[in-house]
Amino acid sequence: MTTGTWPWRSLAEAAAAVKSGAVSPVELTRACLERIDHIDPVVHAFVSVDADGAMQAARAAEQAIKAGHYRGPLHGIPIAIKDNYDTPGVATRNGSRVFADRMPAREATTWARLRDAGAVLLGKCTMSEAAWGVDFPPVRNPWDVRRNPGLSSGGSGAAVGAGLCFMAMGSDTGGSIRIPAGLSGVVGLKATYGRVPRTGVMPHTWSLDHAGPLTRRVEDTALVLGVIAGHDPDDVGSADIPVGDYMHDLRRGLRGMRVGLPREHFWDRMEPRVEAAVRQAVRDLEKAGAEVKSVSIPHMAGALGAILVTEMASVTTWHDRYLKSAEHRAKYTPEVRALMDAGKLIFATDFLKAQRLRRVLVDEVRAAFDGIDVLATPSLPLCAWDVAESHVQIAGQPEHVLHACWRYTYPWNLTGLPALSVPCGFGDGLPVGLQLVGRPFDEATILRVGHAYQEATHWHEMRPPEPVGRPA
Amino acid sequence: MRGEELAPVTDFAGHSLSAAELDEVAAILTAMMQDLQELRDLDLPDDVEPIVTFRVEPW
Repeated sequence: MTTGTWPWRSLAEAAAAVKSGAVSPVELTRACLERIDHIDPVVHAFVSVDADGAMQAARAAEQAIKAGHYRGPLHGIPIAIKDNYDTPGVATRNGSRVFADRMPAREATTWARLRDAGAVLLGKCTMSEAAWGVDFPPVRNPWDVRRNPGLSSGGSGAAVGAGLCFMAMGSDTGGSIRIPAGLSGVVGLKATYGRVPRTGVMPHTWSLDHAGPLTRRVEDTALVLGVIAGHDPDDVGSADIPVGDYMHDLRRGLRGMRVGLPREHFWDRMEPRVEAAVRQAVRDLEKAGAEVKSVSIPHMAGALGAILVTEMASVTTWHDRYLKSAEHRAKYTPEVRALMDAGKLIFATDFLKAQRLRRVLVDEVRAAFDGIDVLATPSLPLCAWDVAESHVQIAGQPEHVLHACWRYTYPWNLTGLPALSVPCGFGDGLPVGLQLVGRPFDEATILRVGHAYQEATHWHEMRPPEPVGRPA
Repeated sequence: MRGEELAPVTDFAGHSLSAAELDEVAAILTAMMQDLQELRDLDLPDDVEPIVTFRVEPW
């Protein structure tokens, strides 16, 4: 195998090869950097690349491994991180001109854990402005560079989907790990709220924010979660609950697994090509041994207002000091500034009603889990849209893409449950994602189901066309 | 909803805006009004307390 093909292999395969000496971290890193040089001028997945730092880290990993100090499956593996994770020595801009020169003094807990495990940082991934607005230049979907790869971790999804790195970290407030995963044909995990520390990840909405990985295979996600999960006393939302071995039950298969399909909300309005792929995925789970049941979550359909007011009030509160400064205020794009201004007009009564609804949703979902092990839904109701499009037709009605794209993901931010998006097919050549949702802190079960699904299918082995030379 | 109608409210919120900014805010609030109204119309039981500090506990 030539080094040029390595960036397309799974993280697990690369880790085994690094451990055995079949490939060196320097070779892997060089192969990724060459591919970034070749592909990223079209895809724009990276906002900054630290080639010198990456090669230095790769050489250090190579020497340590040769000296017998192998640290585990991330040692010497090239990765990328979204631009809202604090990384001292590399600017953290949150996708915003307000933070264009921000050099963080501390490091994100997740980055510290990845670095201590020996991961090699290639660079920072492009993200939407303040995890809300547009990205510039727009990140392109590796499956069709005329299309959007998803918000706001679109750069992370595109980097993994285009084979530029083995893993990229994203963040998810209403779906921003699972949406780019679904649109770019990769795996994305939002673990249980509190499972993965948010310390050093620039806040968006305190009670909804999650940090997590995007990879090409579920097995890779399990390996990464084993490194980044666990209590962090510096994160007030962090849960002090023991972290299991996510590889232990990964290969146990689906025999006896009970999969619930929610009757409400998740199958209401979606593109037929998405529904066809996801219904087939559910049949594939059944064929592999799972038992599929219908369940009810009555209030799910009316929860959009709850996340809107929670998010708008929270984002505006965090950004308030910058909005009050004329110098900083001018650096927001008008669209994002207007959203933040609108957040000033969220009434406390509406905010508290939203938090009451969250309690009802948690109780209803808990009841729905009586007799099932996981929920299965589509990750999104639509495939990747043209970057110039603001509206799409779904079920014969025009809908704003930002209104539609998070319809099936935000419920799991409101309830805090772990949710995984796994590639489950294509519609007109564009990826479709299957979302698997678990009980609190039971990431192991959704990883087991996702891995079994990938063992039974080949969607994760498909590669996008090389985008070189196509219009950016 | 027109931007100028919001001026007293934004002033009360201590966040005075220009006429153009008020129009942008009005457009956003108008777009989300249906979802907001749906939330307001929900008839939740009296004993449901808001989750003020969000935490997830094992079941």
